[in-house]
Amino acid sequence: MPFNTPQQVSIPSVSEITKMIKDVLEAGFQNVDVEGEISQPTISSNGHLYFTLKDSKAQLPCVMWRSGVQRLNFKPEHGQQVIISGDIQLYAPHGRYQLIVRSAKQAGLGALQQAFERLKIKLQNEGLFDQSKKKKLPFFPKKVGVVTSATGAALQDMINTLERRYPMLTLCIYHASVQGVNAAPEIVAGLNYFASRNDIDVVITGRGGGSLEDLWPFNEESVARAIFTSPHPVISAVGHETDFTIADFVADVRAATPTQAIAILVPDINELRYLVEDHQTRITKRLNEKVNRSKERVRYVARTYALHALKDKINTNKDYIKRLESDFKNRLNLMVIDYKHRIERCNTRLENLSPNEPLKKGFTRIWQDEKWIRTSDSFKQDLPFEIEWASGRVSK
Amino acid sequence: MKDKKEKIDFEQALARLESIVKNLENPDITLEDSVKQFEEGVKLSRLCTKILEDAELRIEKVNQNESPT
Repeated sequence: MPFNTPQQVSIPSVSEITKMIKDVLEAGFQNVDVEGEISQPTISSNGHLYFTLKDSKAQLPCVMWRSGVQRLNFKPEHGQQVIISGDIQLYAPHGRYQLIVRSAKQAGLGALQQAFERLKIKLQNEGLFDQSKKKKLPFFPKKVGVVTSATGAALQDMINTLERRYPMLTLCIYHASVQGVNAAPEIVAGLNYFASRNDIDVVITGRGGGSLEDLWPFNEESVARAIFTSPHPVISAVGHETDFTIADFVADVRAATPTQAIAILVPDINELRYLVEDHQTRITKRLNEKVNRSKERVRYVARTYALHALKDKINTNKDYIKRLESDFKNRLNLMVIDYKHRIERCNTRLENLSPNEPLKKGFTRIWQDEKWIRTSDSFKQDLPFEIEWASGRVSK
Repeated sequence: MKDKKEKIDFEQALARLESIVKNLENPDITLEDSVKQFEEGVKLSRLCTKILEDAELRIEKVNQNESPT
Protein backbone atom coordinates (compact mmCIF):
# COMPACT_ATOMS: atom_id res chain seq x y z
CA MET A 1 0.00 0.00 0.00
CA PRO A 2 2.79 2.54 0.69
CA PHE A 3 3.79 2.22 -2.98
CA ASN A 4 0.41 3.38 -4.18
CA THR A 5 2.11 6.01 -6.32
CA PRO A 6 0.38 8.85 -8.18
CA GLN A 7 1.58 7.31 -11.47
CA GLN A 8 -0.42 4.21 -10.80
CA VAL A 9 -3.54 6.28 -10.30
CA SER A 10 -3.02 8.31 -13.48
CA ILE A 11 -2.43 5.23 -15.75
CA PRO A 12 -5.73 3.44 -16.27
CA SER A 13 -6.08 -0.19 -17.13
CA VAL A 14 -7.56 -1.28 -20.47
CA SER A 15 -10.82 -1.93 -18.70
CA GLU A 16 -10.79 1.49 -17.15
CA ILE A 17 -10.05 3.33 -20.32
CA THR A 18 -12.56 1.28 -22.21
CA LYS A 19 -15.12 2.15 -19.58
CA MET A 20 -14.29 5.81 -20.05
CA ILE A 21 -14.63 5.56 -23.83
CA LYS A 22 -17.84 3.64 -23.44
CA ASP A 23 -19.33 6.35 -21.24
CA VAL A 24 -18.42 9.13 -23.67
CA LEU A 25 -19.47 7.23 -26.74
CA GLU A 26 -22.76 5.91 -25.45
CA ALA A 27 -23.75 9.25 -23.94
CA GLY A 28 -22.97 11.07 -27.17
CA PHE A 29 -24.62 8.64 -29.60
CA GLN A 30 -27.95 7.81 -28.12
CA ASN A 31 -30.92 7.45 -30.38
CA VAL A 32 -29.06 8.36 -33.57
CA ASP A 33 -30.27 7.96 -37.17
CA VAL A 34 -27.86 6.75 -39.83
CA GLU A 35 -28.23 5.88 -43.50
CA GLY A 36 -26.19 3.25 -45.27
CA GLU A 37 -26.14 0.00 -47.14
CA ILE A 38 -26.70 -3.33 -45.45
CA SER A 39 -23.85 -5.77 -45.92
CA GLN A 40 -23.75 -9.47 -45.06
CA PRO A 41 -26.90 -9.70 -42.95
CA THR A 42 -27.07 -12.89 -40.90
CA ILE A 43 -29.62 -14.05 -38.40
CA SER A 44 -28.26 -16.00 -35.45
CA SER A 45 -29.94 -19.11 -34.15
CA ASN A 46 -31.47 -16.99 -31.44
CA GLY A 47 -33.11 -14.80 -34.05
CA HIS A 48 -30.90 -11.73 -33.64
CA LEU A 49 -29.87 -9.93 -36.80
CA TYR A 50 -26.24 -9.02 -37.37
CA PHE A 51 -25.04 -6.94 -40.27
CA THR A 52 -22.63 -4.21 -41.26
CA LEU A 53 -23.91 -0.86 -42.37
CA LYS A 54 -21.55 0.73 -44.79
CA ASP A 55 -20.93 3.32 -47.40
CA SER A 56 -17.94 3.70 -49.66
CA LYS A 57 -15.58 4.82 -46.92
CA ALA A 58 -16.72 3.38 -43.60
CA GLN A 59 -18.35 0.48 -41.88
CA LEU A 60 -20.52 0.27 -38.79
CA PRO A 61 -21.29 -3.08 -37.18
CA CYS A 62 -24.95 -3.36 -36.27
CA VAL A 63 -27.05 -5.73 -34.28
CA MET A 64 -30.82 -5.87 -34.04
CA TRP A 65 -32.32 -7.98 -31.31
CA ARG A 66 -34.91 -10.55 -32.14
CA SER A 67 -37.83 -8.46 -30.86
CA GLY A 68 -36.86 -5.66 -33.21
CA VAL A 69 -36.35 -8.02 -36.15
CA GLN A 70 -39.88 -9.32 -35.72
CA ARG A 71 -41.28 -5.80 -36.02
CA LEU A 72 -39.50 -5.09 -39.36
CA ASN A 73 -41.79 -4.69 -42.37
CA PHE A 74 -39.15 -5.81 -44.88
CA LYS A 75 -36.53 -8.49 -45.12
CA PRO A 76 -33.08 -6.96 -44.79
CA GLU A 77 -30.96 -7.92 -47.76
CA HIS A 78 -27.39 -7.48 -48.82
CA GLY A 79 -26.91 -4.25 -50.69
CA GLN A 80 -30.13 -2.72 -49.45
CA GLN A 81 -30.13 0.99 -48.65
CA VAL A 82 -31.66 1.65 -45.21
CA ILE A 83 -32.12 4.30 -42.57
CA ILE A 84 -31.73 2.87 -39.12
CA SER A 85 -32.01 4.36 -35.65
CA GLY A 86 -30.55 3.08 -32.40
CA ASP A 87 -27.84 3.53 -29.83
CA ILE A 88 -24.12 3.12 -30.11
CA GLN A 89 -22.84 0.60 -27.65
CA LEU A 90 -19.33 -0.41 -26.87
CA TYR A 91 -18.79 -4.03 -26.13
CA ALA A 92 -15.79 -4.07 -23.91
CA PRO A 93 -14.71 -7.73 -24.17
CA HIS A 94 -14.20 -7.25 -27.96
CA GLY A 95 -13.18 -3.67 -27.84
CA ARG A 96 -15.71 -2.97 -30.50
CA TYR A 97 -18.49 -0.54 -30.80
CA GLN A 98 -21.66 -1.30 -32.60
CA LEU A 99 -25.06 0.16 -33.23
CA ILE A 100 -27.92 -1.48 -31.41
CA VAL A 101 -30.69 -1.02 -33.93
CA ARG A 102 -34.16 -0.20 -32.67
CA SER A 103 -35.86 0.41 -35.99
CA ALA A 104 -35.01 0.36 -39.67
CA LYS A 105 -36.74 1.46 -42.84
CA GLN A 106 -35.88 1.16 -46.53
CA ALA A 107 -34.21 4.28 -47.83
CA GLY A 108 -34.62 5.82 -51.26
CA LEU A 109 -36.63 2.81 -52.25
CA GLY A 110 -39.80 4.23 -50.82
CA ALA A 111 -40.33 6.75 -53.59
CA LEU A 112 -39.61 4.26 -56.40
CA GLN A 113 -41.70 1.59 -54.76
CA GLN A 114 -44.61 4.01 -54.51
CA ALA A 115 -44.27 5.00 -58.16
CA PHE A 116 -44.15 1.33 -59.10
CA GLU A 117 -47.34 0.54 -57.18
CA ARG A 118 -49.15 3.59 -58.60
CA LEU A 119 -48.25 2.72 -62.18
CA LYS A 120 -49.10 -0.92 -61.66
CA ILE A 121 -52.60 -0.06 -60.45
CA LYS A 122 -53.11 2.51 -63.22
CA LEU A 123 -52.11 0.14 -66.03
CA GLN A 124 -54.00 -2.72 -64.47
CA ASN A 125 -57.15 -0.62 -64.43
CA GLU A 126 -56.58 0.30 -68.07
CA GLY A 127 -56.50 -3.41 -68.88
CA LEU A 128 -52.86 -3.61 -69.98
CA PHE A 129 -52.37 -6.75 -67.90
CA ASP A 130 -55.53 -8.55 -69.05
CA GLN A 131 -55.03 -12.19 -69.84
CA SER A 132 -57.43 -11.81 -72.76
CA LYS A 133 -54.99 -9.35 -74.40
CA LYS A 134 -52.06 -11.76 -74.23
CA LYS A 135 -50.81 -12.95 -77.60
CA LYS A 136 -49.83 -16.55 -78.17
CA LEU A 137 -46.23 -17.41 -78.97
CA PRO A 138 -45.62 -19.18 -82.29
CA PHE A 139 -44.38 -22.76 -82.05
CA PHE A 140 -41.50 -22.34 -84.46
CA PRO A 141 -40.47 -18.67 -84.61
CA LYS A 142 -38.25 -17.79 -87.58
CA LYS A 143 -37.24 -14.27 -86.69
CA VAL A 144 -36.94 -13.00 -83.17
CA GLY A 145 -36.29 -9.37 -82.30
CA VAL A 146 -34.30 -8.62 -79.17
CA VAL A 147 -34.16 -5.26 -77.44
CA THR A 148 -31.33 -5.30 -74.92
CA SER A 149 -27.77 -4.21 -74.40
CA ALA A 150 -25.57 -5.57 -77.18
CA THR A 151 -22.76 -5.97 -74.66
CA GLY A 152 -24.79 -7.37 -71.79
CA ALA A 153 -24.65 -10.84 -70.30
CA ALA A 154 -28.38 -11.21 -71.00
CA LEU A 155 -27.81 -11.20 -74.77
CA GLN A 156 -24.91 -13.62 -74.51
CA ASP A 157 -27.04 -15.95 -72.38
CA MET A 158 -29.79 -15.87 -75.00
CA ILE A 159 -27.39 -16.54 -77.88
CA ASN A 160 -25.75 -19.41 -75.99
CA THR A 161 -29.10 -20.95 -75.16
CA LEU A 162 -30.25 -20.64 -78.77
CA GLU A 163 -27.06 -22.21 -80.12
CA ARG A 164 -27.59 -25.18 -77.89
CA ARG A 165 -31.35 -25.48 -77.96
CA TYR A 166 -32.69 -24.21 -81.27
CA PRO A 167 -30.20 -22.80 -83.77
CA MET A 168 -32.93 -22.51 -86.39
CA LEU A 169 -33.85 -18.87 -86.34
CA THR A 170 -32.59 -15.40 -87.01
CA LEU A 171 -31.99 -13.21 -84.01
CA CYS A 172 -32.33 -9.50 -84.79
CA ILE A 173 -30.59 -7.44 -82.17
CA TYR A 174 -31.57 -3.87 -81.42
CA HIS A 175 -29.12 -2.37 -78.99
CA ALA A 176 -30.62 -0.34 -76.15
CA SER A 177 -29.16 0.76 -72.84
CA VAL A 178 -30.87 -1.15 -70.08
CA GLN A 179 -30.08 1.16 -67.20
CA GLY A 180 -29.77 4.85 -66.70
CA VAL A 181 -31.79 7.79 -68.00
CA ASN A 182 -31.48 6.87 -71.69
CA ALA A 183 -32.62 3.32 -71.20
CA ALA A 184 -36.40 3.72 -71.34
CA PRO A 185 -36.47 5.84 -74.54
CA GLU A 186 -34.02 3.47 -76.22
CA ILE A 187 -36.00 0.40 -75.24
CA VAL A 188 -39.16 2.08 -76.54
CA ALA A 189 -37.37 2.91 -79.82
CA GLY A 190 -36.34 -0.74 -80.15
CA LEU A 191 -39.83 -2.02 -79.47
CA ASN A 192 -41.30 0.44 -81.96
CA TYR A 193 -38.68 -0.50 -84.54
CA PHE A 194 -39.67 -4.17 -84.37
CA ALA A 195 -43.35 -3.20 -84.33
CA SER A 196 -42.79 -1.61 -87.75
CA ARG A 197 -41.32 -4.83 -89.19
CA ASN A 198 -43.75 -7.50 -90.24
CA ASP A 199 -41.19 -10.28 -90.62
CA ILE A 200 -40.70 -10.50 -86.86
CA ASP A 201 -42.47 -13.32 -85.00
CA VAL A 202 -41.61 -12.47 -81.41
CA VAL A 203 -39.84 -9.71 -79.53
CA ILE A 204 -37.82 -10.24 -76.36
CA THR A 205 -36.79 -7.36 -74.17
CA GLY A 206 -34.84 -7.66 -70.98
CA ARG A 207 -31.62 -7.53 -69.04
CA GLY A 208 -29.82 -9.35 -66.28
CA GLY A 209 -30.77 -8.99 -62.62
CA GLY A 210 -29.98 -5.95 -60.54
CA SER A 211 -31.25 -3.57 -57.94
CA LEU A 212 -34.65 -1.96 -58.22
CA GLU A 213 -32.93 1.15 -59.55
CA ASP A 214 -31.11 -0.87 -62.19
CA LEU A 215 -34.33 -2.49 -63.35
CA TRP A 216 -36.20 0.77 -63.31
CA PRO A 217 -36.41 1.30 -67.10
CA PHE A 218 -38.61 -1.78 -67.22
CA ASN A 219 -40.95 -0.09 -64.76
CA GLU A 220 -41.42 2.96 -66.96
CA GLU A 221 -44.84 3.68 -68.36
CA SER A 222 -43.47 4.38 -71.86
CA VAL A 223 -41.88 0.92 -71.99
CA ALA A 224 -45.05 -0.71 -70.71
CA ARG A 225 -47.13 1.01 -73.40
CA ALA A 226 -44.68 0.12 -76.18
CA ILE A 227 -44.87 -3.53 -75.10
CA PHE A 228 -48.65 -3.37 -75.01
CA THR A 229 -49.00 -1.89 -78.50
CA SER A 230 -46.51 -4.28 -80.12
CA PRO A 231 -48.25 -6.23 -82.90
CA HIS A 232 -45.88 -9.14 -82.17
CA PRO A 233 -45.94 -11.14 -78.94
CA VAL A 234 -43.46 -9.75 -76.42
CA ILE A 235 -41.52 -11.73 -73.84
CA SER A 236 -40.12 -9.81 -70.90
CA ALA A 237 -36.92 -11.28 -69.56
CA VAL A 238 -35.76 -9.07 -66.76
CA GLY A 239 -33.38 -10.16 -64.06
CA HIS A 240 -33.70 -13.15 -61.84
CA GLU A 241 -36.59 -15.02 -60.32
CA THR A 242 -37.60 -12.53 -57.66
CA ASP A 243 -37.55 -9.33 -59.68
CA PHE A 244 -40.96 -8.48 -61.03
CA THR A 245 -41.28 -5.40 -63.20
CA ILE A 246 -44.18 -3.57 -64.83
CA ALA A 247 -42.84 -4.92 -68.14
CA ASP A 248 -43.37 -8.43 -66.78
CA PHE A 249 -47.04 -7.69 -66.13
CA VAL A 250 -47.69 -6.18 -69.56
CA ALA A 251 -45.66 -8.65 -71.60
CA ASP A 252 -47.48 -11.53 -73.27
CA VAL A 253 -45.13 -13.92 -71.54
CA ARG A 254 -42.90 -13.28 -68.58
CA ALA A 255 -39.61 -15.10 -68.29
CA ALA A 256 -37.66 -14.97 -65.05
CA THR A 257 -34.33 -14.74 -66.88
CA PRO A 258 -33.12 -14.18 -70.45
CA THR A 259 -32.12 -17.85 -70.62
CA GLN A 260 -35.59 -18.88 -69.56
CA ALA A 261 -37.10 -16.63 -72.25
CA ILE A 262 -35.41 -18.76 -74.91
CA ALA A 263 -36.46 -21.98 -73.20
CA ILE A 264 -40.08 -20.80 -73.22
CA LEU A 265 -39.91 -19.54 -76.79
CA VAL A 266 -38.41 -22.46 -78.68
CA PRO A 267 -38.52 -26.24 -78.49
CA ASP A 268 -35.36 -28.23 -77.90
CA ILE A 269 -33.82 -29.34 -81.20
CA ASN A 270 -33.05 -32.75 -79.68
CA GLU A 271 -36.70 -33.28 -78.90
CA LEU A 272 -37.53 -32.39 -82.49
CA ARG A 273 -35.00 -34.95 -83.72
CA TYR A 274 -36.64 -37.59 -81.56
CA LEU A 275 -40.07 -36.50 -82.71
CA VAL A 276 -39.19 -36.81 -86.39
CA GLU A 277 -37.53 -40.20 -85.77
CA ASP A 278 -40.59 -41.33 -83.89
CA HIS A 279 -42.92 -40.29 -86.72
CA GLN A 280 -40.76 -42.10 -89.24
CA THR A 281 -40.79 -45.25 -87.11
CA ARG A 282 -44.52 -45.03 -86.68
CA ILE A 283 -45.37 -44.66 -90.34
CA THR A 284 -43.04 -47.54 -91.24
CA LYS A 285 -44.69 -49.70 -88.63
CA ARG A 286 -48.18 -48.74 -89.77
CA LEU A 287 -47.39 -49.48 -93.40
CA ASN A 288 -45.92 -52.87 -92.53
CA GLU A 289 -48.98 -53.66 -90.49
CA LYS A 290 -51.22 -52.62 -93.35
CA VAL A 291 -49.31 -54.77 -95.86
CA ASN A 292 -49.34 -57.76 -93.54
CA ARG A 293 -53.04 -57.36 -92.88
CA SER A 294 -53.72 -57.18 -96.61
CA LYS A 295 -51.63 -60.30 -97.23
CA GLU A 296 -53.48 -62.07 -94.47
CA ARG A 297 -56.78 -61.09 -96.02
CA VAL A 298 -55.75 -62.37 -99.43
CA ARG A 299 -54.73 -65.68 -97.88
CA TYR A 300 -57.96 -65.85 -95.96
CA VAL A 301 -60.14 -65.16 -98.98
CA ALA A 302 -58.21 -67.77 -100.98
CA ARG A 303 -59.11 -70.38 -98.41
CA THR A 304 -62.81 -69.63 -98.27
CA TYR A 305 -65.53 -71.97 -99.60
CA ALA A 306 -67.12 -69.12 -101.58
CA LEU A 307 -64.01 -68.72 -103.69
CA HIS A 308 -63.79 -72.45 -104.28
CA ALA A 309 -67.47 -72.56 -105.27
CA LEU A 310 -66.80 -69.71 -107.64
CA LYS A 311 -63.79 -71.51 -109.09
CA ASP A 312 -65.91 -74.68 -109.61
CA LYS A 313 -68.61 -72.67 -111.27
CA ILE A 314 -66.09 -71.08 -113.60
CA ASN A 315 -64.63 -74.48 -114.49
CA THR A 316 -68.08 -76.00 -115.11
CA ASN A 317 -68.97 -73.15 -117.40
CA LYS A 318 -65.66 -73.41 -119.20
CA ASP A 319 -66.34 -77.09 -119.86
CA TYR A 320 -69.83 -76.33 -121.05
CA ILE A 321 -68.52 -73.69 -123.44
CA LYS A 322 -65.94 -76.17 -124.78
CA ARG A 323 -68.65 -78.77 -125.33
CA LEU A 324 -70.84 -76.30 -127.10
CA GLU A 325 -67.94 -75.26 -129.28
CA SER A 326 -67.11 -78.81 -130.39
CA ASP A 327 -70.81 -79.65 -130.90
CA PHE A 328 -71.14 -76.65 -133.07
CA LYS A 329 -68.04 -77.59 -135.12
CA ASN A 330 -69.30 -81.14 -135.64
CA ARG A 331 -72.68 -80.02 -136.72
CA LEU A 332 -71.20 -77.52 -139.11
CA ASN A 333 -69.01 -80.21 -140.67
CA LEU A 334 -71.98 -82.51 -141.09
CA MET A 335 -73.96 -79.77 -142.72
CA VAL A 336 -71.11 -78.95 -145.09
CA ILE A 337 -70.75 -82.61 -146.10
CA ASP A 338 -74.49 -82.90 -146.62
CA TYR A 339 -74.55 -79.85 -148.84
CA LYS A 340 -71.57 -81.12 -150.85
CA HIS A 341 -73.42 -84.42 -151.54
CA ARG A 342 -76.51 -82.63 -152.59
CA ILE A 343 -74.53 -80.36 -154.95
CA GLU A 344 -72.82 -83.40 -156.51
CA ARG A 345 -76.16 -85.11 -157.09
CA CYS A 346 -77.55 -82.02 -158.73
CA ASN A 347 -74.50 -81.78 -160.98
CA THR A 348 -74.95 -85.41 -162.13
CA ARG A 349 -78.60 -84.85 -162.91
CA LEU A 350 -77.83 -81.60 -164.66
CA GLU A 351 -75.24 -83.31 -166.81
CA ASN A 352 -77.73 -86.00 -167.81
CA LEU A 353 -80.15 -83.33 -168.87
CA SER A 354 -77.60 -81.49 -170.96
CA PRO A 355 -78.46 -81.10 -174.72
CA ASN A 356 -74.85 -82.07 -175.53
CA GLU A 357 -75.36 -85.51 -173.98
CA PRO A 358 -76.98 -87.00 -177.26
CA LEU A 359 -73.96 -85.77 -179.31
CA LYS A 360 -71.73 -88.07 -177.23
CA LYS A 361 -73.90 -90.97 -178.34
CA GLY A 362 -73.45 -90.13 -182.11
CA PHE A 363 -76.46 -87.79 -182.60
CA THR A 364 -75.88 -84.58 -184.60
CA ARG A 365 -77.31 -81.10 -184.44
CA ILE A 366 -78.09 -78.75 -187.36
CA TRP A 367 -77.11 -75.04 -186.98
CA GLN A 368 -78.26 -72.32 -189.34
CA ASP A 369 -77.39 -68.70 -188.73
CA GLU A 370 -75.97 -69.76 -185.29
CA LYS A 371 -79.35 -71.16 -184.31
CA TRP A 372 -80.13 -74.70 -183.36
CA ILE A 373 -82.67 -75.93 -185.94
CA ARG A 374 -84.92 -78.19 -183.96
CA THR A 375 -87.72 -78.73 -186.51
CA SER A 376 -87.81 -79.33 -190.35
CA ASP A 377 -90.03 -76.29 -190.67
CA SER A 378 -87.31 -74.06 -189.31
CA PHE A 379 -84.78 -75.32 -191.93
CA LYS A 380 -84.24 -73.02 -194.87
CA GLN A 381 -83.25 -74.93 -198.02
CA ASP A 382 -81.43 -72.10 -199.77
CA LEU A 383 -79.21 -71.04 -196.84
CA PRO A 384 -75.91 -72.61 -195.70
CA PHE A 385 -75.93 -74.76 -192.55
CA GLU A 386 -73.65 -76.57 -190.18
CA ILE A 387 -73.73 -80.08 -188.80
CA GLU A 388 -72.39 -80.53 -185.25
CA TRP A 389 -70.93 -83.70 -183.83
CA ALA A 390 -69.47 -84.11 -180.47
CA SER A 391 -66.07 -84.01 -182.12
CA GLY A 392 -66.70 -80.82 -184.15
CA ARG A 393 -68.68 -78.95 -186.80
CA VAL A 394 -68.85 -79.19 -190.63
CA SER A 395 -70.21 -76.29 -192.71
CA LYS A 396 -72.36 -76.99 -195.90
CA MET B 1 -32.27 -16.64 -97.93
CA LYS B 2 -32.36 -20.32 -97.25
CA ASP B 3 -36.01 -20.37 -96.08
CA LYS B 4 -37.19 -19.09 -99.40
CA LYS B 5 -35.43 -21.85 -101.30
CA GLU B 6 -37.24 -24.59 -99.38
CA LYS B 7 -40.69 -25.11 -100.72
CA ILE B 8 -42.04 -25.83 -97.28
CA ASP B 9 -40.53 -24.90 -93.96
CA PHE B 10 -39.92 -27.10 -90.95
CA GLU B 11 -43.19 -26.27 -89.27
CA GLN B 12 -45.23 -27.15 -92.37
CA ALA B 13 -43.24 -30.31 -93.02
CA LEU B 14 -43.67 -31.48 -89.45
CA ALA B 15 -47.40 -30.69 -89.48
CA ARG B 16 -47.83 -32.63 -92.71
CA LEU B 17 -45.81 -35.54 -91.31
CA GLU B 18 -48.01 -35.56 -88.23
CA SER B 19 -51.16 -35.67 -90.34
CA ILE B 20 -49.68 -38.57 -92.33
CA VAL B 21 -49.05 -40.46 -89.10
CA LYS B 22 -52.67 -39.87 -88.19
CA ASN B 23 -53.91 -40.93 -91.64
CA LEU B 24 -51.88 -44.13 -91.53
CA GLU B 25 -53.35 -44.93 -88.16
CA ASN B 26 -56.86 -44.83 -89.60
CA PRO B 27 -57.83 -48.48 -90.17
CA ASP B 28 -60.05 -47.56 -93.14
CA ILE B 29 -57.22 -46.31 -95.34
CA THR B 30 -56.63 -48.37 -98.49
CA LEU B 31 -53.34 -50.15 -99.07
CA GLU B 32 -52.69 -48.03 -102.12
CA ASP B 33 -53.18 -44.83 -100.13
CA SER B 34 -51.03 -46.22 -97.32
CA VAL B 35 -48.13 -46.66 -99.68
CA LYS B 36 -48.58 -43.19 -101.16
CA GLN B 37 -48.78 -41.57 -97.74
CA PHE B 38 -45.83 -43.56 -96.48
CA GLU B 39 -43.66 -42.43 -99.38
CA GLU B 40 -44.59 -38.82 -98.77
CA GLY B 41 -43.99 -39.31 -95.05
CA VAL B 42 -40.49 -40.62 -95.60
CA LYS B 43 -39.69 -37.64 -97.84
CA LEU B 44 -40.98 -35.23 -95.20
CA SER B 45 -39.09 -36.99 -92.44
CA ARG B 46 -35.89 -36.65 -94.45
CA LEU B 47 -36.62 -32.99 -95.15
CA CYS B 48 -37.22 -32.32 -91.45
CA THR B 49 -33.99 -34.05 -90.51
CA LYS B 50 -32.10 -32.10 -93.14
CA ILE B 51 -33.48 -28.80 -91.85
CA LEU B 52 -32.59 -29.75 -88.28
CA GLU B 53 -29.08 -30.86 -89.19
CA ASP B 54 -28.36 -27.86 -91.40
CA ALA B 55 -29.68 -25.40 -88.82
CA GLU B 56 -27.43 -22.52 -87.95
CA LEU B 57 -28.22 -19.55 -85.74
CA ARG B 58 -28.20 -16.31 -87.70
CA ILE B 59 -27.60 -13.02 -85.98
CA GLU B 60 -28.59 -9.74 -87.49
CA LYS B 61 -27.63 -6.45 -85.90
CA VAL B 62 -30.12 -3.71 -86.52
CA ASN B 63 -28.53 -0.63 -87.94
CA GLN B 64 -30.07 1.91 -85.63
CA ASN B 65 -29.16 4.89 -87.80
CA GLU B 66 -31.51 3.66 -90.48
CA SER B 67 -34.27 2.48 -88.19
CA PRO B 68 -37.49 4.46 -88.16
CA THR B 69 -38.05 6.63 -85.12
